[in-house]
Amino acid sequence: MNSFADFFWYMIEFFFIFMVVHLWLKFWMAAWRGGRVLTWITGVISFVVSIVAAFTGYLLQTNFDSQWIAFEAKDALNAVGVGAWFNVANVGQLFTWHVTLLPLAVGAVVVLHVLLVRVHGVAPPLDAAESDAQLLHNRPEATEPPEATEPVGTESGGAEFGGAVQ
Amino acid sequence: MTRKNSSTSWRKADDVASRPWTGSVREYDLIKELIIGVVVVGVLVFGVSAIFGSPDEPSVSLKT
Repeated sequence: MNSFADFFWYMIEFFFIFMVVHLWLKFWMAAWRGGRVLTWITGVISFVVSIVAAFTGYLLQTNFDSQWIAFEAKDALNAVGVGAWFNVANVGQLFTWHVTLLPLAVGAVVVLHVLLVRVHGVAPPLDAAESDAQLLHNRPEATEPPEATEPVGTESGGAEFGGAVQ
Repeated sequence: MTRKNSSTSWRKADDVASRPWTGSVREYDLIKELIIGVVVVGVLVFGVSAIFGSPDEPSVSLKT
């Protein structure tokens, strides 16, 4: 590795790659089903805010690229009327956006996103049906405790995940 | 026997996706998964930046 800049660059590359992969996977799983729409929306917001953060990062390279991007972008931003508050030609202001405000915004939205997943749980598979044996078997009864862990499922699941990661 | 698949609508309805899951569950540790993820991606990024990073040549000045 030659410099921190390379590491930082590829970190962001992978951040966006994984984010887009996550977006596609959740799209094809239709993971917004069953009242989980806010989870999807907070995901969209985090993606959009990340793009703005990446944009300010491009502007902070302080090279010919960033100069070109800034002076193309200023026209668009002035056209929509936000140029006075978000001035792409002001490097100091962009540092504040890039280092403080936008990372905090991304972090806050991602925390909310994860909390919503925790509240609603993950969506069941698309082909999960009422007639599935495990659902018929584990109908909530007044006499039984709500947790229904199967030792077989836990073991195979642990091996599966442990094997995939390490 | 026909299977009734859940709708892909975002609205809450009386279906499998909307009711609390009553099937089997497995335990997981969010903090552990986060740490493993950060370490794995950190190693990956370190490797990729070592291979594809640009050479760090010192800038030319009047002194050199």
